[in-house]
Amino acid sequence: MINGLRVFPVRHHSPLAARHVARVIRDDPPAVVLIEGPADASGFIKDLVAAGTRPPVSLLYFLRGRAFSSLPYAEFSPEYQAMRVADELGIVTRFCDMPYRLAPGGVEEEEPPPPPAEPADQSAIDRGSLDFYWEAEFELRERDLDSYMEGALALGRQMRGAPSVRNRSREAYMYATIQNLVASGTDPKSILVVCGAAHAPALLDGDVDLALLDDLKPLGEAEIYLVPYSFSRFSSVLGYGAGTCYPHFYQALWEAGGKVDDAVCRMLTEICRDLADSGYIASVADTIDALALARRLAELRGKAGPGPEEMVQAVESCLTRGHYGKAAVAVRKRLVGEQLGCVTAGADRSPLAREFYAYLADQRRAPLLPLTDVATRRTYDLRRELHREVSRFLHRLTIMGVPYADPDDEMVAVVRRIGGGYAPAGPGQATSPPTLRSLARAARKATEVWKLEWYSSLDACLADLSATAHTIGEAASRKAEALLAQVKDLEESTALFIEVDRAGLERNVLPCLQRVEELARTTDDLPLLAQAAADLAAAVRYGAGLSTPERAIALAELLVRRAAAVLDGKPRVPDERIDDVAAALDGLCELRDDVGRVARLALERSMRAMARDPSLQPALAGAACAVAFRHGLIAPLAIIAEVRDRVMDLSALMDAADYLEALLRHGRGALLASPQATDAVRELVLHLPEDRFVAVLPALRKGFSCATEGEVRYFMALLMGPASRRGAPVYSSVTRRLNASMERAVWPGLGRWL
Amino acid sequence: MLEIGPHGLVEGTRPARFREARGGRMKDTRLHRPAEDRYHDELEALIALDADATRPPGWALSPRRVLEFVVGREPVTMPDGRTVPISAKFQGSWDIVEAAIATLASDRALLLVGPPGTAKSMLSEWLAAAICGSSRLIVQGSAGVTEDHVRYSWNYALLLKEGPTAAALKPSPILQAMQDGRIARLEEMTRCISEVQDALISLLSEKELAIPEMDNLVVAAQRGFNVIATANTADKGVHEMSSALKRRFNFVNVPPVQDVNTEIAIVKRRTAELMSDHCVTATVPDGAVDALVTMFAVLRGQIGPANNGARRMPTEISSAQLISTLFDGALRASYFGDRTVSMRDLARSIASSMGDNATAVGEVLDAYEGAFRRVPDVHGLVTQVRAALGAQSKRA
Repeated sequence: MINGLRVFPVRHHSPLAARHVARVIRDDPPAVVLIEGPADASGFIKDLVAAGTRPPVSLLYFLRGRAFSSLPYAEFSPEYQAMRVADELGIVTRFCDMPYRLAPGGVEEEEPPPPPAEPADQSAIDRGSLDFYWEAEFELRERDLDSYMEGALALGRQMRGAPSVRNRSREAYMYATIQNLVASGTDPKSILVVCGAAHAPALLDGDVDLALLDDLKPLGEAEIYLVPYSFSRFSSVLGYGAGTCYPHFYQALWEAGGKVDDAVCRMLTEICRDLADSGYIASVADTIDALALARRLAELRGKAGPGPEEMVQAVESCLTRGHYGKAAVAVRKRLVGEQLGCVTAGADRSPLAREFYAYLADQRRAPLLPLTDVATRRTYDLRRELHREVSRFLHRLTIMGVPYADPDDEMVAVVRRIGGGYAPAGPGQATSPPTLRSLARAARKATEVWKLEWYSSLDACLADLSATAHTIGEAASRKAEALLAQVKDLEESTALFIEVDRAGLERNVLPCLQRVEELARTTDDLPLLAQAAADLAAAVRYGAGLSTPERAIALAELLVRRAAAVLDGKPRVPDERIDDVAAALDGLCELRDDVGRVARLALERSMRAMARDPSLQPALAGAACAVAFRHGLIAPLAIIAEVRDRVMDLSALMDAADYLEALLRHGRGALLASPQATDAVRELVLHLPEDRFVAVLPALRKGFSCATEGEVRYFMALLMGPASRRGAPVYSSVTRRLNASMERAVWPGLGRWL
Repeated sequence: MLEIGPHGLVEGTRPARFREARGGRMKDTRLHRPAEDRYHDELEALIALDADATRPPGWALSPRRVLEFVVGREPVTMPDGRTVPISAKFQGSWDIVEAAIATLASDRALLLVGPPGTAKSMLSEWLAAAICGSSRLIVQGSAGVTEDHVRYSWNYALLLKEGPTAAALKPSPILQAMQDGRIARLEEMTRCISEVQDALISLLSEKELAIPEMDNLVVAAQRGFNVIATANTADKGVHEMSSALKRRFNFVNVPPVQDVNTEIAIVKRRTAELMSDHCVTATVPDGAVDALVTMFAVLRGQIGPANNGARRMPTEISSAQLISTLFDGALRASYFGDRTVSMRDLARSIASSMGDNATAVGEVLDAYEGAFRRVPDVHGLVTQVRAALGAQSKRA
């Protein structure tokens, strides 16, 4: 036991403790202030209290290949205030806890959850939670220093229970540090130790086992950085377990000098104003009622004043009146808070973090790249140089797996899927696998939309990547190499090629290109080939971010030629993929103007052949016919002739139905718009023998099943309109036939349509 | 003249065969006894305990004791040595009750909102009984409620004979509550038409009511007056409350019970009360209650496999309906069975409560067959329900 040692027990984020510790240091300045915190981070104290640092900030402890840990500080953290005031008064300040790199036995121990503390005054508080107890008995009761010290120590003794080996080792380390200081001639009375209330009794009573220090072994080389932190990460509701649910309320309490009523009044007024600004009816009278309700609830619960729980209930009852969604938004903004801290420019950071923050801080780019804790969307016009440069930067981050920018782009999702990447800490980050259609859509944009959000894991990620690279470009390039090694199919390789190109990673473009070529030669999956070609061509045509369009075009040509070869081989496509193939063929046809003559002719020849090939799968032929018709590769009369040939073959009526269905599914819009086509269909209907007409009706019905009611009505009007103009006999002939058919209930829907 | 006393019809006005005397004291034969009567001893004990406490004006108990009356506490020892247990009546979160009590101590009225069968009405009854000793100043909201039900009406015979006098005036329960400084209850407020809702606005903001027929006599609300209204979220949009009226209320949400064990306790306790009220003597085995509540907890997706939305019960099953089903089973067992509620009794009650939805219910039960099989009692009940539904369909 060290006689005369001054120990100030704290709860880590407590405005009351912060106020008292600051006063204790000012009133009776010690010679040394020792603070609970890893001793190897003492060098960061000067950065923590620097003028350019604005809490919330956090010390980020990082062992390569292992999870990172945060030690956040808010303005109302007593440790932060102790450091700040000591710095003001020129007092030596150090961290005294066990270094982060050490662990008992060299084995990382899971921090056990703190034991549930029994509140000292059960009659006052029925809820039993430590947070509730602390808030009600300390923060809201505005205890004076003596009462605080007495209560905090008593609570510390109660909470202590049986500490884990890790905690006992930490206490031994802290105690040994103090002993060394005393041995070097410092008077124990001039040492002030600021530590958690649970550790205070051990240090005061000398209840430590110094033998545990012999067993401390290094886990590895630790890296420590000072990084910005945010209130939403601070909130134990959302993440950091040792924080407080409502940090912004505690900040308000700190700013109000501990006057609970002032802080509550300010919070409720701000919430009311937010609600009014969002168009909700909330007035000053409602705020007064909410305040009254909060006060009554606090009284009923034996609290000295209303806390966040009472305010939440008051907001729900009096301000949002049962609209809990609105209440939740208001509470998150005002009680949890959205404040993001900042770190002085001189603070030690990993090279990549330095580059990242410097890039964001640039005056020209700052509006495009906000450093925010709330998801914010930004749209970049890739025709503008600055936007293109920002886009390249974000694409590099995406390839690296840095959790800051989330693109509205499925192509990038493919790249992420290849590498797994960093899982961002925030919710809603899961990306479902992209579909081929969405891939095609994503690439066909002259603008990019990104969702930007700062995560506390960002610095850890950048620090991790700093081990292998010194610049973001280098790190992205290395990551792209790793991703390329993991690529499995054409879809992934194409996506990676486009992404690498968008990120401007020149060094990686050629290997990616070679990989795509290699996979293209061995792939006979038509949709994949077509989609990859379409992606490349579309990226060239619309995606201004692509830096090597010539290579992409050459690659697209290769893919088109390969696709044409696959088409010539009369592929059999599962029914559920016909739509994909049709979309792919469509994409290929759109590429005709972009690719070279050889590829274009090969494609046109293959498409025409497919459309008229009776031996080809009927649905595929129908879809190909529709696509070919839409792109002007086949005449309408040729289509109708093909239809006639197929429906006249009674032995293959259902094949004809499949053909017709696929044809109409993918080309009915173009067919309906073509007078030649509708005339040909009318001729076909009129010249069918009566028995054949009835026989093919089921096939027609199946063929029209994909059409909307309006389309069928329009089709029928086109069918009969010219006929009626030519003369009653023709018109009546058609209607008589249809009526007769309806009577037999062959095509009951037609009656309704007519 | 027909008189109605606190315990129903006054003796002598009812035929002899309906009279029941026990120990020279009239037996309380009312089907529903108000909370202040049912928990008379508890209220008396809490009042005794609360002698020196600070109470809001007009309140019989301090807010803390009102809370204890609703959520329960350890037994109270009376000055005469008697020990009075204070039962836990409300099983949900204390926060809800605290918010309700804090509201009633303010000048805002209280609106309890939530899905059907979540004990909103009972909570309002308990609160009214504890705060002012009377839960009977009640207006049952419906489309048929007029402004007169909220303000006042007249005894037209006296009105014609004497003119608009105090004797001819028939105050509404809300006006009575204003006069006496008590709590008025308005059930199902959103089922009342807009005119009735609008009539409340001036009552709640001015806290007085003018009676023009009596020379503009103004009846001012006495301290202690407040209103507890209830509204079903299921009725949302039937008669949407105006913003002006909403601003007179503090909203407190009463959610359904999520914990199965709590729901089992509620169903047991409330069914026992109903059986006592209706003099039904039947044994309700614990297994039957557990099976009933567990079965519907599975169907609601509270436990067991996730309800993917493909199969849903055609009707909402609240705790109140489970109580009703169990009580119905007890009635069957008591009058037509062996006085022990069997799975068959329960199954028939469930089947009859499902109305015309037998087929749909059968399909839902089939969808959850796997989950039911894991609990033998529940599976037994489900099998019986299927049989009862089949028999019901056959009869139909």
